[in-house]
Amino acid sequence: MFHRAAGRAFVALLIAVCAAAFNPLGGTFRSAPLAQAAPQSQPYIIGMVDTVTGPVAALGTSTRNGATMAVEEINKAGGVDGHQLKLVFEDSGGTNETAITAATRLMDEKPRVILGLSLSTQAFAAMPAITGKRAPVIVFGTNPKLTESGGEYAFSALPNVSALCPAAVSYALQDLHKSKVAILTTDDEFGVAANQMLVDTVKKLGAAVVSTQTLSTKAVDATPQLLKIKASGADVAISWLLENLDPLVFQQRHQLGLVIPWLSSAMLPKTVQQIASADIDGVYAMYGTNILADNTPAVRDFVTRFKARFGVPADEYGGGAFDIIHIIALGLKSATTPQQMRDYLAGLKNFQGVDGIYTATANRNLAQRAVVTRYDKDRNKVTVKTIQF
Amino acid sequence: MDSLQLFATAAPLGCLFALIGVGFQLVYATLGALNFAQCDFAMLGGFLAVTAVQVLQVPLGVTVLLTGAAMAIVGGLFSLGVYRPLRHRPHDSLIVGMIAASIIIENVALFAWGPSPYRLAGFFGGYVLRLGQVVLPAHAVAVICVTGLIIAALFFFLEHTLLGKMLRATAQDAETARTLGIPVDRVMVGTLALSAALAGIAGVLMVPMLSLSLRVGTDVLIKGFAAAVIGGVGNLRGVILGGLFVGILDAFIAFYVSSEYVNAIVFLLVILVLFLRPQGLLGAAVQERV
Repeated sequence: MFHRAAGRAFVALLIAVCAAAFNPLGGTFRSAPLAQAAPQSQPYIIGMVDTVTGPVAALGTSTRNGATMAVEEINKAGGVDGHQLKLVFEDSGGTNETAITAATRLMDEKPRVILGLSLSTQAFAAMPAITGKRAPVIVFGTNPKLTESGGEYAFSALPNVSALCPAAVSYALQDLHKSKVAILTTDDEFGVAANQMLVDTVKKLGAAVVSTQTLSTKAVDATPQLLKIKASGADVAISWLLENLDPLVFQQRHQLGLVIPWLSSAMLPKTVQQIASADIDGVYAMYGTNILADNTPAVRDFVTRFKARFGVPADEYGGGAFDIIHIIALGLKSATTPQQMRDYLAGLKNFQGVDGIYTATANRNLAQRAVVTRYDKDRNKVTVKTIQF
Repeated sequence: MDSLQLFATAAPLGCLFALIGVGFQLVYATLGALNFAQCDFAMLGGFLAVTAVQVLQVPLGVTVLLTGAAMAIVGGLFSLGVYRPLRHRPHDSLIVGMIAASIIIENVALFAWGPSPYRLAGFFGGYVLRLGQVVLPAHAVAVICVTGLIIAALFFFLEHTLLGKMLRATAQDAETARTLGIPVDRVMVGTLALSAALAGIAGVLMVPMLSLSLRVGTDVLIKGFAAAVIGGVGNLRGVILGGLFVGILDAFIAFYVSSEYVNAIVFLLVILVLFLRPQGLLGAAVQERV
């Protein structure tokens, strides 16, 4: 019975195919209507590669949360012109090798756009695997040379060191009226880029760098570096460190009585919670935005939804990824090729996101803004200056 | 004055390197294998302590003991689950097995505690001793004392108890020990349990000093390994001194030479020791008769 039914179905299918192939109207096999119908239900694939298991997994976890939330909300609202968005995520792990493997695997999914790579070191390593006119890539790493290394299809999503470092130096010299600067950075691409930018800006503004110190990303003691800063006579210090080092540095700085004003790179809320109040009280930190202190209704609403969805406070990284997905979704309405998507991103102007305004620069940086914040004794960060470039 | 401060900060760190190095050394001597999961035992011990103190409100002193016991169980399970199934396979399999276990432990910790760093208040809270211009957290003094007690207890165990003597006999020559009726397989399980307990305690002591993240164990393991090589593989006293030496050297190089090349210089020294004195600074030379 089964064989007979299957045989009939096969014959029917054969007749249908032959009829289509020899259709007197077209003369050839016409699959066009089928091909046109298919994309209506096919999702737009957005690739994301970031670190959610490596030593700074907190960063990647936050960006993944932001992107996931945006995709879920866009899909719930009907998607983009009837297409659902599909976020394909690959974990870049803790090393450059795992980042390259993750990026290569991601390309098999043929994503329309790729985002992620919060660690500049990993971004540099993985860039060759994902760039080359196949899809625009929007990185969260903050080394300004990333967009150069990725070519004209590479964009930078968050305010990078070329925005935040000059803002930090400018605040230290012009607002705090200091003149002898000490710099402490990590020895990876993130820290090296910041170090160069900080030194250049201090010199440009006519002040002196009296001490330049580096810390290994795996350091377990910062005493030598802090003692050198103390001995240098610096009247202000700027540190640009990975999340895992901030608690150590602030604790030892406090213990050693290094009481000069201190400006730091951004920190995730969970990291700040692990720093004793006395260690962080009075520390300035540079962010692209102060999302938890922003009273704009749309931002407050985002912060509430984020906390409800993931059970952790929203932060600037999650907000940035959320915004980038919305930027991509807007682009997908009109851009059907990688070139068109690239051109759309390169021409982006005044997109208002929860993290602030996005406008593409000639260097393909989408976010050029800085907020100087100051931590109080309850570890809340208070905005003391907003800078829009 | 800076040198005194460097010494004061580096000494407790050196104690932690020594604790890790001793565990590393015990496993190497007894099992003939480098335990790449040693740093993950320290990290896991630290995370268990965070849960005990922050969630269960257990005092830090009690937490040290509880974590040591818990990590001994983890070490025993590690031995039964990783070492024993692979011990008769080619040595490469054992190495790969230990590396794999290390990665699994790290990912379990990531799943359980998340990626953010943690910090605990130390013994005596945040109290800091000031000796002239030298500052020393009271917790660091406690770390030195606790480490000293643990090492004294370890030596007593190894030299004056039957179990300790069985462990030493197995470390010297497992086959002869077996013919003498020593349950070598059980001793090996016990060694891994002891080594994990030492690393776990080091992990607990570490959290108030360094803050705890998934990454924290790696550098400590590397330094513990350097301590074992410099002090002398096979010589526990050498490893302890090696740990202190590496901790202090680290700080002095970073201050007086360059903070960028600390690890390069420390490991250059390790290579020099391997070339010039492979038995380590305190190890005894052994001649092989062919």
